[in-house]
Amino acid sequence: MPISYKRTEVGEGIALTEITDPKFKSNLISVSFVTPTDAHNAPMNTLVMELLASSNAKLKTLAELTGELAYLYGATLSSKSRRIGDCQENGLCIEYICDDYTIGHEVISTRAVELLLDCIFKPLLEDGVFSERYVSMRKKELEDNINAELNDKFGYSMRKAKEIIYKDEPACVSLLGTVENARTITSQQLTDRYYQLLETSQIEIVMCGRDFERVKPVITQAFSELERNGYVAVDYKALSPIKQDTAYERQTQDVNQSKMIMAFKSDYEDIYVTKVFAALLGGTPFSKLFSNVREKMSLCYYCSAAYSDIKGTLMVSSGVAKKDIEKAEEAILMQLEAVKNGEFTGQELEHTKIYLCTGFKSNNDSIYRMAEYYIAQNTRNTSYSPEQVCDIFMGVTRQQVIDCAKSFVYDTFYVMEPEEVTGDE
Amino acid sequence: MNKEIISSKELDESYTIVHHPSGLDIMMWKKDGFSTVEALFGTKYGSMNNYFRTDDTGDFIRVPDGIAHYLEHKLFESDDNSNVFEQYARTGAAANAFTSTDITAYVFSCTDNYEKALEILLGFVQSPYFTEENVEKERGIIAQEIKMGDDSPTRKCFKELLRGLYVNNPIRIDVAGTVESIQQITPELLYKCYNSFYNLHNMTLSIAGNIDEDKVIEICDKMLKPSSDVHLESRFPDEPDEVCQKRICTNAAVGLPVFAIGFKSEPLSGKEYVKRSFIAAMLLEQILGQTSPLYNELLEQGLISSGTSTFVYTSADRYFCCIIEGESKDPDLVNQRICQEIKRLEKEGIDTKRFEIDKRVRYGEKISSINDVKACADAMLYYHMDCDDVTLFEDVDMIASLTAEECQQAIPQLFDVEKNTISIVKNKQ
Repeated sequence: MPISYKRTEVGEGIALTEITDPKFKSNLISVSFVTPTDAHNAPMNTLVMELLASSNAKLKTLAELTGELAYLYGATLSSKSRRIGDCQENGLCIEYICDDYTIGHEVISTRAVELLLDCIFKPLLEDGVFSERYVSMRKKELEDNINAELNDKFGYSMRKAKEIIYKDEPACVSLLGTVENARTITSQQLTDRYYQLLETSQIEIVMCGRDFERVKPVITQAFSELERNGYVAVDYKALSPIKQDTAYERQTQDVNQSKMIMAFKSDYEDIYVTKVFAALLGGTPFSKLFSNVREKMSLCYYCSAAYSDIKGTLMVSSGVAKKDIEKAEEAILMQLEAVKNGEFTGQELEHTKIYLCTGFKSNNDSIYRMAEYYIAQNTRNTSYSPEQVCDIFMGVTRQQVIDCAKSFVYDTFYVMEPEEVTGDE
Repeated sequence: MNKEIISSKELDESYTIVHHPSGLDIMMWKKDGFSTVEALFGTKYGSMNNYFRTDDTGDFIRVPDGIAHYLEHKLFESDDNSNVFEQYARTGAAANAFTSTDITAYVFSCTDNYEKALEILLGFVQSPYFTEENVEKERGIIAQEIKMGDDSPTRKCFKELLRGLYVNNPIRIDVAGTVESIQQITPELLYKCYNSFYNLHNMTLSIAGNIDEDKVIEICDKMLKPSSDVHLESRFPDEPDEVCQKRICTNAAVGLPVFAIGFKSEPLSGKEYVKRSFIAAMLLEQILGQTSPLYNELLEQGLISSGTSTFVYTSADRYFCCIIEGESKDPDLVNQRICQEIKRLEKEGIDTKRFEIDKRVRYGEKISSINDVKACADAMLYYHMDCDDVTLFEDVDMIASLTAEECQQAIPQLFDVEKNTISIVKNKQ
């Protein structure tokens, strides 16, 4: 039986995306509250999701909640708070094994969905607000997470680079905020924000897996009964303005390897042509950047390009020795120039397209990737299947790739580097 | 050709093991409805195998640290000056490789043309091409990879933990070696290692997904070059029971101190090894799993974060340790509380209700893992290479038959607080 995709409205600004495929033995249900990103609300949204994922009115402690999840054959409940362009997607998702594969076909699906809905609609409140005790725990954890951001050097350098690439845009706002800000957040503010998210955000429900007959009516009813007030529809696409002159920023940090990020921007319309261009430049192990900057010139361990269609921004990131920073920047710019000049073979283009198709088609084999794939389709107001996207890729022409490459402007250079050139360089 | 079918009625799954005349063991798992194919061509060779002999080497030889990983990089080069990624390009397959302490494997993932991709995989792994020039060229890239690893406090912390837990075991050596050790690697040494460990008798092919088993065998028949037994013998130094160092503290730029806590125990093999691994994982759940009282207490007191994780780090016959990793403002206090909790469990007994529920968790994890073609291919390879005579579905029954008493009795062996090491990475004062 082929994969089926269906998207329906179940309330004002509430959409249900149902992706069914009988080959899976477990299911994923994700509920997201999407809002425009703003610095004031972003950390509160993050905290609200953390609170919802750690207890509810029935399961009042994290231990009780995780105990119930363990009983449901190790079902997992997780919160998410991430950026999609200038928007923030906040949500909860649950994964559980299908009833057909439990011991003795025990029905757990309804219990798993009930747990998810209880976390969303029946949070643990004391005197009408989130429990002070839990709020202070989650706030402490938020502070720790802010402090620990530096622990992931690649992620940290990327975040610092985005502050310059997306200067003055919502996309550069930190979803965690600052330690000082975290300390000032109150239970009342979080409770107010929780109700605002229920009333005003765009709600995206995604069900991926099989045998949803028992649970779909429960979910649909719960959300159709939700009172909405002042719903704000989000517009995902928000191209980042191109700077007049390339911005250069160098920061020193206690690192062994320099992390270099270069951003290029464009308002080129066709995102699938741009994906082919980005892959040709630096998205495959035989791309221009990999085969020249890494393999032939041995300048870095990684050198790759990633494209955000929502922001119209292509980011090239690489790990280089401090002494090679200028050389690597020049080499990357040369490879971009080569694509602009059409210096690539028909075979290179063909192989890039085939490689992209493999990646897109493989989305069909994972409930997580399939859910992510269709969430991305929703942000573009399209519902192409991976196979349809592959057909689009295969139709991309050489001239389109050249025109697309020519439209990209060098916007930002950022490097996080060690203070001194170390001896072994 | 010897063929076995391993199946599970409960899981509604089966896979095939073929002992190919070339000496290679081939594992195949056809996954109906899936469009991907995942393949791994692996050898029992990792960073620990740095002292060995064969008929060709005569005496035992010691090779530089990091050479197995270096060799993995260099196999991607072919004698016509093209690299393997370019060959894969026409199939659309995404190719990669990894080296661990005891396994090196070459991997591809694709949705179409798996037959061609399989030919490329079997072809390049059997065709080494090392020259002074191409070996030299790789040094800079690998040095950058080593430095990138050094920038990860979590990785640094774990590396130091292993150095603290073990006295002589080569697990102390980083898989990639050091910037200094890789300077000693030459084409001759690479060929010596290749000819010793990349022998089909020492290797396994694991392939899962949208495959036709007969077609896979046909390609193997065409591509495999039978190799004669070179009587490979790896030697490892004796390892005392005691840990090398109980506390190791290093510095890096971190926002919050990172810690890794380990408990060293005796390495095992075969069924006992697999069973002991489950017991260890279930005891870790009792000690600091998300449903444990200690986890919730430490979380509430702000001593750990929800990102704290536990796992069992093992290799059959070589090492066995139980690990707890995370971030904390006071890692020493966390370690102290964990050791106290172990003593309490030893005295008062484990929570049998939670133990029974944990069995359901393990069963659920198994079901979820077989949803993923890559996880299926990986699991076949690991079970075959690391777990001797245990098949992939046997563990479902093994978990079902585990008793709380068995777990309780294993605490002194698996969580001896005298064989405990803590590694901490924190900011320079």
